[in-house]
Amino acid sequence: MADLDPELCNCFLDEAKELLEGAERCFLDLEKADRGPAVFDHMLRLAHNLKGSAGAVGFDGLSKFTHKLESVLLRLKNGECSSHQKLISLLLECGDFLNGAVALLRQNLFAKVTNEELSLRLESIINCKICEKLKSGPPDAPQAGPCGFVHPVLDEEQFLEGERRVADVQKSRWTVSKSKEPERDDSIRVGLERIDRLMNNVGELVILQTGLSQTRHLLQSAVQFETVSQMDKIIREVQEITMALRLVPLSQTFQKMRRIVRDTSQAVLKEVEFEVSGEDIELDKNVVEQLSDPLVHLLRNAVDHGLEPTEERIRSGKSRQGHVFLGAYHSGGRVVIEVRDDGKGLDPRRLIAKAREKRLLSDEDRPTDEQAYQLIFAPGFSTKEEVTSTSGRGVGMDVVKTNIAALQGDVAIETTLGLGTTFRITLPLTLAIIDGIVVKLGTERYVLPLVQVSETVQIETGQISKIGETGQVLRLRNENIPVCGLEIMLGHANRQRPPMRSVGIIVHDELNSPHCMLVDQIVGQQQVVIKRLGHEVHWLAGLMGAAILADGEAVLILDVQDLLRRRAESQKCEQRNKQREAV
Amino acid sequence: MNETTAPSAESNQERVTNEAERFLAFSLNGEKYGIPLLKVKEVIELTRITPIPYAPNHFKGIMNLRGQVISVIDLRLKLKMSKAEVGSLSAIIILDLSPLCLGVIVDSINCVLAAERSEIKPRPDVESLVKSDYLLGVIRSDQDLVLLLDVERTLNAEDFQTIKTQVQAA
Repeated sequence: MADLDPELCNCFLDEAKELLEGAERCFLDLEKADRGPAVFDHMLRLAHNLKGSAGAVGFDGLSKFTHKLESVLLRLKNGECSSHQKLISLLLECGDFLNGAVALLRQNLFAKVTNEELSLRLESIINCKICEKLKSGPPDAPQAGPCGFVHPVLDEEQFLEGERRVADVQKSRWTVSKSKEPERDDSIRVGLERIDRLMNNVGELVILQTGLSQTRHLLQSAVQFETVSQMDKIIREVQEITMALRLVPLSQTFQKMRRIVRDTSQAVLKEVEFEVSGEDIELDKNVVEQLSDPLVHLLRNAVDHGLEPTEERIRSGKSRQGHVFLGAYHSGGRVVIEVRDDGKGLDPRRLIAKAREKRLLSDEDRPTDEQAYQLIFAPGFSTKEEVTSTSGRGVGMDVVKTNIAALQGDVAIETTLGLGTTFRITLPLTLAIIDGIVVKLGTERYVLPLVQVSETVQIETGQISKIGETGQVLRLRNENIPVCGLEIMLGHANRQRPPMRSVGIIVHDELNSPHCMLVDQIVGQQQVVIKRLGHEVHWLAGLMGAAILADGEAVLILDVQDLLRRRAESQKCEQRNKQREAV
Repeated sequence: MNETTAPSAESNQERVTNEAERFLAFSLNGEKYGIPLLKVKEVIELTRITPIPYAPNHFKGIMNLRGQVISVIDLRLKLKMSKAEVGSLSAIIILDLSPLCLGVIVDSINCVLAAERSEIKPRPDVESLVKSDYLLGVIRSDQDLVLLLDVERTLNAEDFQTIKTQVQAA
């Protein structure tokens, strides 16, 4: 172990991580009724690769452990023991241990990684005599073997069936090994930082090119003119390709969810069939990473709260197994992710009652059903009486709401009492580019995200009326909308502007009530690349980032929701101060 | 201006120069300052800077440096000096304080100074507008005293954090 080559080791650890992900997928596939015999071969291949590589780089402990795992898998494949839940759980635990070991070794190459308990359990299966008997003839009675697993009762017919399956496996192994080329990984890993640098430069290139294109009519020669036009096309394509570099498929995240659902369903003793679709949909890497937590909470909730206990399902005439569905699809330039269950659905009356009890609602509040559903996102809200390890603290759904909002996304709930609930998350394809409206305020320009803008109106005389000392409202289609100058929201309170000559931007706050922000002028609508602000400023409220416009100037992208929230808070403060003065 | 940075001076005193540290010297409010050259990424002329709402006073705004958005600080205001009219000599020094990349506005750039360790004197209790905590020491160059700024301490992020709480309290 003394002469470990760090580079080789890191290479191995990367490889091991991929192999283990593949292995976990296989273990979970074992539970499926319609699994093919190929899964055993695949599993063995993975374990064998892992064992070989671990031995080659010098991780002896890892190699020995994997060897035992491989032996068990071999028995499983040969039909010497059956793949029932307990065994699959053990396999998954081994996978977890190996994953942990890989993470540990990454930090410290000389870390000792062993797990005596798991090793012993694996050995007991390898040496299990009853398994042996199973091979030579049907056992007389069901009994627990020394390996701790109850071997299933097999009557003769079933056993023959098993034999046939083994034969099938052996037959198909040939075809499998023949048809499958060794899997080649035709991708390379590139650091995100390099991609960001590339994106910066490509962005700059696009800006320069825009300048060149705009002045190309000054060029004398037709050849030059043609070249500039060609460059224009190519640079746009380069930009598109660069943007796509950040996209990664959802499959890894979804894979993790299969495990979550399985573990949760076992913890709460419910039978769950989990379906996944749209794994190959690609999203920005940042989005995918931050999506993981919300999905974990939604799926745990679906299994724990959404689905009824098995007896209740049977009583209400539903299938014994609960169904949970996780899917992704494209919809109008955005990606929708659905988490659906066929459980009992949300009961608005129960939610309201619980909210009153927790004092999240006052007795006078009469929320609609839709508003009642939104209550589940409130921090500290839970309909569970007891806090368990799976749920009940009322933190999860709050996390869902905040994480999705941070990703510029939205969560919608659709539910029918007794039939099930669907959570629909809508997300932008990438966090790196947004559609924005460029507005002008004095000499400054700002970008507002298009998704946050509902409409824009040219303000005409008489449309704005005063209320009280400072308040203003805009009358629009029989609705009174509070008006506020963007400069006031941005803290430049002393700037004055005749309201007649402004443009109103209608936005909606979190409670979906409209507000009108006044700006001097709308410059245009364009796609902008979001540049993160340095961490010396990112804490400033109301800023989503910065963008570089076509003339090379860096301008701020405003977070309208955040600005509105800030304004509401400061108004509350003012009122409180006034009341205090009055007293 | 100090000429010790010229290569000719280095050639016959190479061993000594190796031990020397180099500083970028600039003027601020009539005083001369220096910052370690290794912290300087580049010097650019004053460009358009976009102000940021709710940011503290010395925080000038953001600028575009070849596609990278960089925060710019007015060093005069940060060091509590009077505000100056921007002149033709004004420049932005881009500092590399990894992970931070910051621009600071100064009145003018003077030269690069080389100073041996022994030439750097501890900070004296001179009458300066700058808090002496921010100084690494001083060096003498010709007739002038050059104050060596500890940029990390002057512009550290914790400073911004305290401002943050002030802003929230306001």
